[in-house]
Amino acid sequence: MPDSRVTLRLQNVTKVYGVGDAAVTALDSVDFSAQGGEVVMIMGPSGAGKTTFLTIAGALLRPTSGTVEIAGTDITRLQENDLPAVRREKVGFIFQSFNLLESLTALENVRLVMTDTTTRSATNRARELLNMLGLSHRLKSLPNQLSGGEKQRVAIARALANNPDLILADEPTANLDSARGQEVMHLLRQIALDLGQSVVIVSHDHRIREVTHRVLWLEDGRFRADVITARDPVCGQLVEVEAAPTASFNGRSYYFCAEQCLKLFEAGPQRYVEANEG
Amino acid sequence: MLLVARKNLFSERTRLAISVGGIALSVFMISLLLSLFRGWNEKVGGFVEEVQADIWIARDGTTDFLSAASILPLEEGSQGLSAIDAVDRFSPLIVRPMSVTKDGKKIDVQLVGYDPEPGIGGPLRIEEGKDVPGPGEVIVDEALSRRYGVEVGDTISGRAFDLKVVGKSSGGDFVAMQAIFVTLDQAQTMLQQEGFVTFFLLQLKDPDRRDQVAPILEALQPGVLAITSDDFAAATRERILGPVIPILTVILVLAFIVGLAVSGLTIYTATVEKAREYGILKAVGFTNRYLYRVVFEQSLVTGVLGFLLGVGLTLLAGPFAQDLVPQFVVFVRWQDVLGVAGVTLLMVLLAAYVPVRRLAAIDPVAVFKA
Ligand SMILES: Nc1ncnc2c1ncn2[C@@H]1O[C@H](COP(=O)(O)OP(=O)(O)OP(=O)(O)O)[C@@H](O)[C@H]1O
Ligand SMILES: [Mg+2]
Repeated sequence: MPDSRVTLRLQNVTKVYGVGDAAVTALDSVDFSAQGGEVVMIMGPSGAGKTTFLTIAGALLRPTSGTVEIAGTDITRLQENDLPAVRREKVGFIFQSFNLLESLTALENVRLVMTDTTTRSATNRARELLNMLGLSHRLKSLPNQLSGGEKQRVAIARALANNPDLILADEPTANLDSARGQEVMHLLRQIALDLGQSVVIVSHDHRIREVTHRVLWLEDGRFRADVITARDPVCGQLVEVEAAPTASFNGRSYYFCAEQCLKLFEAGPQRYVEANEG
Repeated sequence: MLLVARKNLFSERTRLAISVGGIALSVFMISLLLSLFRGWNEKVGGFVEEVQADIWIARDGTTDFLSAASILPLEEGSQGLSAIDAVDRFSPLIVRPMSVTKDGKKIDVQLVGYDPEPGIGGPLRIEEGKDVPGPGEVIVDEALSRRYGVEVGDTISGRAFDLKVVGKSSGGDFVAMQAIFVTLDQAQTMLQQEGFVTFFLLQLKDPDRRDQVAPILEALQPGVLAITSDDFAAATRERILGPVIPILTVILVLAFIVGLAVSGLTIYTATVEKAREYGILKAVGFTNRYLYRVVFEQSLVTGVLGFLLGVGLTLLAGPFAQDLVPQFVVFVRWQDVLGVAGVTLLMVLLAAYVPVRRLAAIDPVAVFKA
């Protein structure tokens, strides 16, 4: 369960790309905080500012205004030269396209980022992490010899290498099939629970909801508290309650992505309710 | 070496081979030309340097040993020198570049006629046969023997003379020609210049004073040049090799540019190809300095490999080339090897400069794009 440590706090963060007529406000006075052990999911339409949010939260991009604290350090007050160390020590990144180094083995990809200077203990820890992620037989494999799910697990091991306070994942399951995606999500949740890290996930993937503590909706650069989302019991897609077709069954309301799903549901609600809520 | 640098470098074998090959070729050309120059330098001035003389006397205006354009009267000169207290011993010498024939084949030689008593200016080291030529006899340099197959017992001729080869010596190879040694009397007869010689070689009572004695001798006898052995050797080198230096410099610079271009291009394309990976490294918290080091290390290791290969080739090819082409006298000095190492270092640092500047411009945020 989430603890009381605040690992990430954004206060009144605004990010404007470009100037003048070309200016795009990607984040608009955003406030956010995440606690240790917490898994937060950020959803929203394309262009909402999700990646911008993550890169600012990960000390990769400076906000136009506002403050960002990572594990108690106000990174907006740090020099440019000090930011890489923050990223390396306090943040773990997980990307949609895995982003492993192609000429390095799984083990080397993890070992590389470790701040631990002695090669042996770094290697040992890298091996432990990979074992924990079920990759003990893949240590010597190069990324192009690994499946997508395996690559993403190596990437997770790399994100965990320096035992960061914060893990930021941008669409971590987008390049995986649903079973592998599910697996990766459960791993992330387990890690948050076991290691007390905060995991912030940006995703379109509605299935991820199950494993998160909170889901936030980002749209036009703002978190919208008034958007209540629900999962379509037929296709599983996440939908905005406000605008969705709806039906009641056994005293509960269900929301649908489109009329088709609503019709399927009405034809046999039992099937969907049981399948999903068991 | 950093893990990433090592992996990047050695995972692309073909590219590594090309860049190492380019640098090696460049290093090979530079060190070979340099060694060739040193070899010639050594040969051209070596004889004058090694002869046991402190001061050479020649006609004023004489430029060097090889063209040997000097005429001095033998009697008058000898009397004058005998009267000078600082001179311990002296010996007249006749030197003349000329061509002779052996079995109808033309051979360029540097004829040296010396006085076997006291023997200054004669063969430096006897390798075979007699150590002093008699009348009608000649001692030839072993390089001449090797190049033209002149052996002890053979005869070499001019239009009006025949000389029987009675010995071989070393130290008289001037690349373009080799020394042959006869007695002073023999030379005077052959050249029909009785009473005249080319040089006088002096040994001083106090050799350390040669720099002071030389100008005094010149003052005593106007129209005469008195020059120390070292200066005369340097003048000879300058005369023969001086004109080669600008050409040599141009070729060396070109060789450097070839190496720089090949290594620069390969390092650049390698860096550009890996731009995304460098972006990943930046994103996960590696500093620009770390990335610079990754590229520099690759460049440096390429340079070291290219250098070793290039110098190794030079050492291997040197003696081999000399067998094929006698003029290919290669003399590898460790100072030059060190110099070439410095040049290689400069080459790879320059080659890495542009790619390194590119690294700074890589935006780590781009790696969030799929
Ligand atoms: N470097 C940039 N320069 C200018 N505009 C940018 C830049 N990066 C993002 N934007 C703009 O900022 C807005 C937010 O972009 P962002 O990438 O954060 O969206 P996103 O929510 O991650 O979208 P997606 O779901 O498609 O990945 C978009 O309108 C985008 O066009
Ligand atoms: Mg995005």
